[in-house]
Amino acid sequence: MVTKINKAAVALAGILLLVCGCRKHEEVFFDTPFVRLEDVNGASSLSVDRNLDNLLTEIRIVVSASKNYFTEPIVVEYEIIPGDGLKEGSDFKVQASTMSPQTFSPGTYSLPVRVIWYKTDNFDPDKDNTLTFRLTRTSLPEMLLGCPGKDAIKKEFIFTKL
Amino acid sequence: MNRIVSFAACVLAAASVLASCQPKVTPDGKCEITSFTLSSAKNAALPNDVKGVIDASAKTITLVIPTSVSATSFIPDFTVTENDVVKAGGAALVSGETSVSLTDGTKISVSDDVSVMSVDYTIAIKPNDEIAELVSICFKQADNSALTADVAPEAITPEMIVRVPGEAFRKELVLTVTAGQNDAIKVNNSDVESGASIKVDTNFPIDITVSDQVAGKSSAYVLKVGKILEYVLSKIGQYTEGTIADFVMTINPADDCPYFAYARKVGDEKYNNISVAKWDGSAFTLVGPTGAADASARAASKPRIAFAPDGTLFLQYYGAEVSNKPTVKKLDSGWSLIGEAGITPQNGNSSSSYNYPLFVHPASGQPAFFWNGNTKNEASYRVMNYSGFNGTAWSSNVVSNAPALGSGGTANSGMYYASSCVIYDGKVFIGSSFNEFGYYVHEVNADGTLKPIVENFIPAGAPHGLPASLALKGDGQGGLYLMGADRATNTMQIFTVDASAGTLKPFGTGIPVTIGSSGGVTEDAGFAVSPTDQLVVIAYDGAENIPVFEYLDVDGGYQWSKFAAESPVAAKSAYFLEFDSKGNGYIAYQSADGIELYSVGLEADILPE
Repeated sequence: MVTKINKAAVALAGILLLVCGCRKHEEVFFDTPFVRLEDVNGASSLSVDRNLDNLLTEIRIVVSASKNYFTEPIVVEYEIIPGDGLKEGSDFKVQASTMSPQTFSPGTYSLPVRVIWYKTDNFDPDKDNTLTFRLTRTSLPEMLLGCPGKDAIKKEFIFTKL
Repeated sequence: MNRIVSFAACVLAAASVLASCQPKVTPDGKCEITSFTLSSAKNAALPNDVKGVIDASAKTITLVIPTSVSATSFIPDFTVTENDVVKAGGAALVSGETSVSLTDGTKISVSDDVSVMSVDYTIAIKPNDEIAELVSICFKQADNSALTADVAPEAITPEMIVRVPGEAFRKELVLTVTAGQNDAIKVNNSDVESGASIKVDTNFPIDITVSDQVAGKSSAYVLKVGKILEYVLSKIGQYTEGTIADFVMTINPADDCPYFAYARKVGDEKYNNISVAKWDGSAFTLVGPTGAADASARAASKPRIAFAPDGTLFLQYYGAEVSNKPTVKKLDSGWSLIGEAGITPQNGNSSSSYNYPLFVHPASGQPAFFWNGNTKNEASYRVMNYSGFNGTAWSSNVVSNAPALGSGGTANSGMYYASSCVIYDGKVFIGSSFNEFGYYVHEVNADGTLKPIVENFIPAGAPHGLPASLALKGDGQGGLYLMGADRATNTMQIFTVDASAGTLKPFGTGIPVTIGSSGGVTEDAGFAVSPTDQLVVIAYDGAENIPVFEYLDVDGGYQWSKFAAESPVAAKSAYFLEFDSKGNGYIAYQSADGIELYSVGLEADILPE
């Protein structure tokens, strides 16, 4: 009797497992649109030699979005946060046409943000000489800022003038 | 009955009154189509909306249809002025509803319902080029005062570079762009009409996007604005081993490095000996054992070096222990004598006034040289002689088709002064000068015989050529250049060799020189031609023997332009100028402290990237 019950229980559990295994995942995680900041090497930070003048650097805003989401232009906004050791115009300059916001037409997945760095005589190594670019908003509500994951990697890019 | 008639009359009267109360339609005086679009939403064959371009005066509606679309019937969305009725082929069209055949020449009629106005529009169908392309891009001189000419890239490519003069570098410039049919242009995210201009900051790369709305395509371009690079002269360093008395510099084709053979005296040595060193790109290093000659008893002088195509180094010097006859050695594990010491049957003129090259003929791979005998009553005396090694022994002879001594106006005319050698494409060429004669250029055959290219060229108005500082150089493209002097104008002069005409042609302006008491040019000089861009560089003695370094500005009217050089020290020898195969130039001369070495090359490139 016990054996029969056990067999029935095992069979039922097997059926349940099969039924559960056949259920579709409702979350299709890999289809989540997201936007990130990185340089040509895929890095999210870069050191800038303070002795170099007119040094041009380029980072890229990269969107990952399937056609399901990318039917209309996507606007991406970012903010620029200079440390107290850096001053725009004398230490660096951002190319006007690459300033926030940036609009991605369907089919465009990467747009540059360019920064020129200048040599200055009043560099203070004790100050905060970082320049942070941080994603703040996109026109696509579903789009994540930074790579998927709790750390939102590449939500910001940090230059450090050394 | 009367009642009925009266009632009818009343009804008619009332109807008449009512009718007269209807608002009267006032003609707007217009009868026009104001928009005409084929939307992709209502026309599945179209990948994108096609907006008609209406020419109100010509009464045409131009529709650009992708060539991939075969359909000819479409449902147009259109608007018209008030009370207008649109028909095609007599059938009324309702905007957004009626399908109509639209081909090139189709007539669309519009009539005003409340007036007699009517008009016919003609449909013009134009195929789209289906390409989103940038056609041209230019910084026009007319728009940019810092430019002296229009500046455009060589070709339209996804990544383009243009170069502007220093005055315009990193400045805001006006850019003119044109694109293909139906293409919209964005420059740095700003819309620009095709053929129009926009200001751009050339500190940054310029992003250009061209979109073909009809085809639904786009192309992206990046334009970088660099500086027209200029040649710069830089001092590499100074080299010495003991005290240097004399030297030469030659590029080794195998490693592209400049090699120096020099006569030097080290420490308490009594006599000069010969050594070889090279600049390896970062340091001067000795090549082979120092002191290649047997100078235990007598001095060695007049070093020369030559390289076989595989880079094997041959060294020649005049040894006092063999009556100032030349000796040639090869560098293998050490310095190996080639044949016997003191090669020539008579002693040679080793004075610094006479300058003869050692060379390795590519056809034989064996060393050879020309020389001037200094033993009276010998056939070799003061004329051009040749000595070549056949792998076993040296043989020497008087060159038969060179000027003979005394064959000019005086007893010393025809005396062999100097030759300079160029090896190109497996051939050996020499330029030569002889007392009271003009300049000669020959091809040297493998057996040492000479094939004339230019014979006895005398600059116009001059009595003859001048011996000092003669040099023959190649430009890496088959062209030969000879530096001589023009006695008619008292200038140093670069000539190009016109082999087909058998003559020399002045190239660039002459450089004034001093003619000394012996009738020769006082200033030492040397020159070279870059094999990569044919830049001609010259170095010569300025005031108090301070070197002057110049290049020929071909674009600037073939004038000589000075290199900026930081206080070069005075020269006490001839100048040796050579370019390696990559176009890196070297200038060497001897100062009181050793060999001074300079480099000539393009300034570092700075591109916004």
